[in-house]
Amino acid sequence: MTETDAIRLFKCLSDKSRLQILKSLAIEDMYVERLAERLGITAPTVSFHLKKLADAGAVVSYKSQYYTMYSLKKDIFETSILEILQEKSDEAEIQARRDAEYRQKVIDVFFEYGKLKAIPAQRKKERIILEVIAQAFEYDRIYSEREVNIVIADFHDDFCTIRRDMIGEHLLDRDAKGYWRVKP
Amino acid sequence: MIEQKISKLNSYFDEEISLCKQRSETLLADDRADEAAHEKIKANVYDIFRTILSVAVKTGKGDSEAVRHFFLLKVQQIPSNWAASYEQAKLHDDMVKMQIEQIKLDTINNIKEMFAVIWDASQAQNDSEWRKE
Repeated sequence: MTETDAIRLFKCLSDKSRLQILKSLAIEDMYVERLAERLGITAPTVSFHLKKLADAGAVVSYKSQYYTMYSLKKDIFETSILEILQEKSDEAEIQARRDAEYRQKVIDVFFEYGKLKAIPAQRKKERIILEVIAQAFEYDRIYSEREVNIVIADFHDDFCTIRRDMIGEHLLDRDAKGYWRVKP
Repeated sequence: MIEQKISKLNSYFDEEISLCKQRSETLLADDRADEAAHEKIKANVYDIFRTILSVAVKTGKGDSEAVRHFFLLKVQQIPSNWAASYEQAKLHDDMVKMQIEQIKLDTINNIKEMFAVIWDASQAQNDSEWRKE
């Protein structure tokens, strides 16, 4: 388990309702309404907590007849706290993780359900979102300007600015034949 | 009469905000931070509509129907974004966001109901007194 995973899990566990849900699931697998009845909280609130627990890797769900059942992800809880503390992480790894976390944070802020909410004003942040958009283009393929616009329009309406900036950031290149994705 | 209705509504908002804050503190003390935050969301919605009521009163200038119309218009307009956001979250199976938007929508429904009870009931009472005279 990485440090980031451990922190996310511990943060998630530091809530009485979530701990009660996990205690119930330690007895047996349950569905939302059953947990709600048992714990005296509403079903939507149980779903809310289960989503957070699932994101932290603490529970998994599966279908059983008409119900979505939830169960503990036991391997997560079999890791001892001492094992987490003894896990080594060197400086380069930490730096890479920080970069990845920053990148993810920018992506989370500027994208919602795969759509770009706004073009970042800061160049560093814009570079990150342009790299995400660039992933929608295949390598070794020539795109017409119309095709480029259609791909970018899936993310944001201002495809002209984004197309131009992607050229400026050397993520895309162009000549008389068309546009292509630049290999790193 | 309009003053009485406004005063009743303001008391309702104050009471609800105070109850939400109490529940939030209790939940926080019980290490249920997210549910405490949900209570704060409710309190914020009540606070927004308490402000809207004061704006409605200011723009209505003593005309009961104008205040009612302004307030109900905002009650329709403002939650439309919340409803859209809820649908979007539902589409993406985002239970966390769905719950937050649902709390806001449930709170606005409570406000709508209470407004009808206070405003329209007072109106009916006025009408019956007027007929008696």
